[in-house]
Amino acid sequence: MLKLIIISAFRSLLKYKQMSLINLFGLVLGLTSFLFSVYYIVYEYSFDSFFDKSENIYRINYEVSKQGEPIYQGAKSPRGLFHAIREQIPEVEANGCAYFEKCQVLFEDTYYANQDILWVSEDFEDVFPLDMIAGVADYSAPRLGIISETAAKALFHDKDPVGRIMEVNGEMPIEITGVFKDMPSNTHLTAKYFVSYKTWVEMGIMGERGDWSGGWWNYIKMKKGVSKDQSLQKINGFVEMYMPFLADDHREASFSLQPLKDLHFIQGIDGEMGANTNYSSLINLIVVALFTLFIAWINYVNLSTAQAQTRSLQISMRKLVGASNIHVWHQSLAESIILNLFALTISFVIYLIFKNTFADFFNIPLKEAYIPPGNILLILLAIVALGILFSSIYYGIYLARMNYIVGKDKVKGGKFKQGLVMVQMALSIIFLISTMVVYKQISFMKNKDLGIELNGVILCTGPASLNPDPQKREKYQGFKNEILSFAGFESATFNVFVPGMEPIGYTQREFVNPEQGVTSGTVYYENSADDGLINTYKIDLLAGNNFGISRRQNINDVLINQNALKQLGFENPEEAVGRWIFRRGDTTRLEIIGVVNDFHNEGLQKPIYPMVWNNNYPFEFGYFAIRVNTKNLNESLAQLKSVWNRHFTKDELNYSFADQHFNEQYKSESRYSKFYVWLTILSIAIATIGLYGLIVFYLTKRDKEIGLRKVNGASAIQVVGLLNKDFLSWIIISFVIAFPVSWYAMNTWLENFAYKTNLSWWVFAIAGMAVFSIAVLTVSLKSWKAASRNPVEALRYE
Amino acid sequence: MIKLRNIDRYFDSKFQRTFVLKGVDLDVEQGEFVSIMGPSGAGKSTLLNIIGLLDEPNAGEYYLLGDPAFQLKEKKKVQYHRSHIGFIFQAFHLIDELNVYENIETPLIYRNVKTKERKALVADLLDRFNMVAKKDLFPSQLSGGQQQLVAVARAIVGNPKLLLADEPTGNLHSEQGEMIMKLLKKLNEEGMTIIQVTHNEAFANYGSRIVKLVDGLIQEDYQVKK
Ligand SMILES: Nc1ncnc2c1ncn2[C@@H]1O[C@H](COP(=O)(O)OP(=O)(O)OP(=O)(O)O)[C@@H](O)[C@H]1O
Ligand SMILES: [Mg+2]
Repeated sequence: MLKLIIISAFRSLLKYKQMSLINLFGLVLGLTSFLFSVYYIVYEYSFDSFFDKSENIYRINYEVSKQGEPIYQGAKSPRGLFHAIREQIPEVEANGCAYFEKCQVLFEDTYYANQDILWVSEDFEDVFPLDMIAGVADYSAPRLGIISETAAKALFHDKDPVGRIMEVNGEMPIEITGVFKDMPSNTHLTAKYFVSYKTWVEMGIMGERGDWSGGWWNYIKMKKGVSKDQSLQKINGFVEMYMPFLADDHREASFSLQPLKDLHFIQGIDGEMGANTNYSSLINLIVVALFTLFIAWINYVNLSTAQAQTRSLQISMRKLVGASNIHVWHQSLAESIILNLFALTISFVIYLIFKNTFADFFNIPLKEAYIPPGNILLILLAIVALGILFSSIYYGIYLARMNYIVGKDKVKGGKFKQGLVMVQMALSIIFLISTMVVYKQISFMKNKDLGIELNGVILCTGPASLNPDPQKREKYQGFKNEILSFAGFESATFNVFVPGMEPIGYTQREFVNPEQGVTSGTVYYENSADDGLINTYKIDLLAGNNFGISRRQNINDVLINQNALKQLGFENPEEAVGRWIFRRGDTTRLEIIGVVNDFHNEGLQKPIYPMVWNNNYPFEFGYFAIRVNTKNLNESLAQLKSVWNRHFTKDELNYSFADQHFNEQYKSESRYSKFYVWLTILSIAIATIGLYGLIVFYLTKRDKEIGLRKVNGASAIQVVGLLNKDFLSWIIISFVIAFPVSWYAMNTWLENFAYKTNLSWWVFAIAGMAVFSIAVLTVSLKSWKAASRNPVEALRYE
Repeated sequence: MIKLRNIDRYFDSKFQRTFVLKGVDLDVEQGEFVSIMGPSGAGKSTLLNIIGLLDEPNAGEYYLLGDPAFQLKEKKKVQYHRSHIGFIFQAFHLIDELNVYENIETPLIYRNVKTKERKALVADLLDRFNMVAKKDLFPSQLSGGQQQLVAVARAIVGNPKLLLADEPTGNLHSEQGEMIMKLLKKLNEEGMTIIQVTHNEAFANYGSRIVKLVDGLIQEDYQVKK
């Protein structure tokens, strides 16, 4: 029996070569696109899963509220938790805490700025065991640390790093006890160095036990099979035990446990480490990928049933010689399995060949990622099995229903098929509209007036060697004076953080304006700048004055933006100038000397926030922003380099262009838009195949009618027109479905942005026209052949 | 064996009802060889299809092998087709994807006959029909007469009680037609009940009885004189 089924399936696939090829093509398209999407989706879902027992690891989130109003909702919590948990909660297998910092590292006369260091508690490796390629991870004593393979290569070249000393921030000699293999790209722990935080304790920067004020990432790893709820209860018990100061201020605090695997998806939490992905975009992608595949199967079913018309006699004969409906179904199942497995193989080969190209094209660090082995293939096989089952069941039912009086089969199922093709068309239109809206939003964001001018601004990482230097301000000034003496350079300033960058954590501050009765409750960002701020970024000074050139003129002077002005309770810029404000909990009087216009410090996903500038040189290295005339850019860059090298002999010049840097923030949107473009192309291709199948089906059904019309004198063009009329009426219906759905979907998507483009009518018009033209073309091409055929041919077979 | 009583078969179009069969009564005994004749459109194929359970009458009663056979369930019909009825058609209707051997073997596979037995039965028939050399060919590689031979082999391989043939010689030239008719006659002599539709007077006479159908009515029904 099996042999009969398989032989028949193979032979009939070969016999109807054209149909089989079209089917195969459609399935390969659907499966390949699905496969690549799954690759990316698995990557996103596998964040941190390479850590041993990652499913038992949680991060402790911290929430503080005052009279019901949340003040802080973040990933950082008190270091005191570390010891408390370690000593009092035995169900926790291991726990650790960590602090992230970009530091300056010195080894043999070379400075390396912006090195990602994670300061960790002892036994941190019990929570996050790293793959050591040399030495061991040891944080048990001060001044011990480990380094990643890549960083080791950059720092030590060919020398064996273990046992060597590197100097961190000019004051901490750290001995390297081991080298760890670079972590996969899909981790939230992006550090290149792990160093014992006991170094700080030894230096007297902080106490041995840690306080209860916050600022650290706390992680716990639960023992296997132990419920986390009980431990959480105990952890929350610490609030009363150790944090009575909160109650004195009418504040309440609570902790929660965030599973490690969710870290990557959770947004809206302060102080997160590592980049988050937009969860809803990811879900959208999954839905789209599934739909693409779903469409491919719809086609398979449609084409098969269309073909069944031609094959109905064969199927009837099988039934006549004793095949039951189950037998006939097995037959179709076999064909479906063969075709799908074949398509699957081709898709998988394509996937294997183009995996890396895909990663490069979409700029995703997939090559360096941890992808759990077998997952992709398993998902694929499961989905394909489902697809085969459903498509062959539908096909089987169709075959069973087929009237089997020899030679007099009736055509049924046309309505359902129309419905399916309508859904495909609707999906294609929805994808097309979505893609266009995504592009529109991106171009809107890239072109919107930011309130500052980034074109022509070069951002340099501040020289790390200045950090411990008491003369840093003077040295900066010397560099600035010289560079501005060249004709191509217009203005320069230092900054703690620059546009296109989320403000560094410690710049978050609250300000009070007692005169206006404004206490606090809003987070401000306090940046640093000198008198070059206004001209470098071309910010408008709305009232008051710029900083003076000399630092002495500016002690305790601040500039504020309009948003800060409003938060502080001033009516207008003029009113604020000359007034005093205070940092919360600090008695230093800060005089507002000027008010500048609001501008976008970050991408348009985020609203504008209140900002304050002081005139202090950055606490850490910060950035130098320099406005340059772009006419002779290359020459200017060469000048910049030589001036830099003369002034900062120990630091490499590290620069980027501010506008490019700013647009980096739209990387994720750009990536999704690229995805959508491809999926749209695929879905349209697949839908066209579906339409084609439907036409074939329809033409077999109306073969005789077309012949008769022609005998009665209709021209081929008239016949094509007639067929188009039939088809296009349901394409119109698919528009009616697609427009509101895509309008709703894109409206929801745009909610992610504080500033958004509008859903113009022409987006819908263009998408509609495009799909409409493709449909008319397909219908006309295929029906032209039938219509221009000699009518006698169609009528001859009775 | 077959008992038809007052069989009506009609088709409704928008404005009228067209009768294809009107009050047909027919009895066929085991071992008979009946030839149904009549002008084109008289309803011969329709009658044969009803007998073969490929079509259902709109009114009347039908008993096959003593059992009521109108309004049967699909499953039951498959059972009848598997074990009691064989078909031959004017256009042969072999399964294109299968070769000669497989075409003959297929009904046995669907009947769950064991491999060994299947081999023996098919080999037997191939031998008997002189088709051994052609067993690996596909229908499209055979002449009409050969195709019809395969169709007959396929129809009788399961040893049905009833063989229905709708113009089995219609697409064959006379020499091949005669060969098929001789074969049918032989099968009948071996005990198989056969009902054929034919336009050919001479071929009709191979049977034992002739039924003339005109406009859905039985006009004549007589034994062939030997
Ligand atoms: N599904 C149907 N719908 C409408 N009319 C039908 C249908 N099937 C058969 N008929 C009509 O019934 C009549 C009898 O058809 P049938 O095939 O039984 O004739 P026949 O005697 O076998 O003719 P021929 O010798 O040409 O084969 C014909 O007029 C045919 O048009
Ligand atoms: Mg007929």
